Amino acid sequence: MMRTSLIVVTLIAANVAFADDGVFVLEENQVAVQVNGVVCSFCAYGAEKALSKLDCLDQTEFGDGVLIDIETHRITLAMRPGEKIPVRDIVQRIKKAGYDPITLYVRSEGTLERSGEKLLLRDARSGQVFSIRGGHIEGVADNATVSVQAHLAGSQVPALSKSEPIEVTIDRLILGSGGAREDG
Amino acid sequence: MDRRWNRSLIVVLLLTAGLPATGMAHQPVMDMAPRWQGGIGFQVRNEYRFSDDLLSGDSDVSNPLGRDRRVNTTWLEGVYTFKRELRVTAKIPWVEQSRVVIQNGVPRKQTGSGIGDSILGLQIKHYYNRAASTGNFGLTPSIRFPTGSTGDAYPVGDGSWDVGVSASFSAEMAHLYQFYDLFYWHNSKGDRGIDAGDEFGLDVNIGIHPYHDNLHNIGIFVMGDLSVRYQGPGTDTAGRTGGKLISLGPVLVGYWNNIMLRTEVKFPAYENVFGVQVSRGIDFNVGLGVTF
Repeated sequence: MMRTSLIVVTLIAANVAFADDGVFVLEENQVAVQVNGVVCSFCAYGAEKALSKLDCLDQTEFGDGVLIDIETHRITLAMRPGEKIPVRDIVQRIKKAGYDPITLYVRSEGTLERSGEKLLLRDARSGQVFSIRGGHIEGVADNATVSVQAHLAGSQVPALSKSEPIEVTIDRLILGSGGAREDG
Repeated sequence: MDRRWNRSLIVVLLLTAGLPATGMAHQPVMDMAPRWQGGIGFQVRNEYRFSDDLLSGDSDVSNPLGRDRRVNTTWLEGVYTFKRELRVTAKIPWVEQSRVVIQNGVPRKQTGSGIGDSILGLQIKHYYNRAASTGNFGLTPSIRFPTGSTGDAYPVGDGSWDVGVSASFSAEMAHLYQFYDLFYWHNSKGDRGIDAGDEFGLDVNIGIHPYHDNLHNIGIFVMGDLSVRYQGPGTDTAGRTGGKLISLGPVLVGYWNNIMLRTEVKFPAYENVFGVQVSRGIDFNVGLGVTF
């Protein structure tokens, strides 16, 4: 147990550089989208209106489930716990509102599964499956239970196949337990 | 002032009139929004101006017979965005106006009211989005329809079909807004001898965005407005028209979600009219807009 904790602490420490590079900490049940051009406060209403119609949102947060920050150019969506993230729909709605989504940040907690070359993360609450870019998480066993913050590029979303898991890049391992590899 | 000069002045006054109201009818309808496909916007804008200053060229002259002009125009403006690059705008004015002109050496009040000449524009826009800014380039051909009556003593329309074009650029960052619009109107000959000269103009708005509340989408812009106008020599029912005008003034814009309130005042900084005309005067604008 102590060894696992040490691994988690080590991984979080290793990702402090990421945070300094601008990767922020996403809160639980939130999705964030870095969006080019979302500095126009009056016209950002169009994006807010379009996104607030998503069924998966927790409307009790931010008034309508959507928070647009014109300083950081980031749109944060408050998700209802257990809802799948409609990545394609989010991107399309932002584009239709006149903006360019660059990066989507997601947070997921679940169990890793090995499927051939791919390492999959099945979210424990929504059942949504993510494919981990690179096929492994450094220092974490393939069947570990993890909580991660990850991202994917907005440009890759339109090409996503509906049947394929969404490929994400891990930014931060928030929690890892069970079957963690021994570190040396 | 001797009698001969007085008579000459009266003759000149009989032939004079101010810059037509259409000159300031150019303000674009909601520049940045609605930029989404199927977006609709409406704006009700009231423009009021009054002056009893008489100009000969760029000099003030005495106004012993009390010439003046008062124009109150309420614009109903609409915009529909077919897609991000193409939208149509419409502006319908309701005009209430009066002026004092000199006829046979006697000051006479003339009035006019009703729907003025309406404008339809087709905006072609190219938007760009960058990490910390957004903006657009626009090209807008427009037509001004003779929907206004020319029957009143001070007609609210000119009876002509006019065409115009404008080229604009605007950019916005989280704390800065800038807008430039260069336009040209070709004014055709209308009814009752109204023959306004062609018009060139430049509008510039530069300002800051000092307050914005992300959670409630409430904020304000504070800007400065520069308007430059040149209108060629022409005539209306009371005399000469046309001249040069540079006006400056503050603009305050407040918004709450999809509702926007814009107030502005334009002070004439430089004015040079053809012949003798009543100055354009200070221009007050208040507009309330909403997008869907």
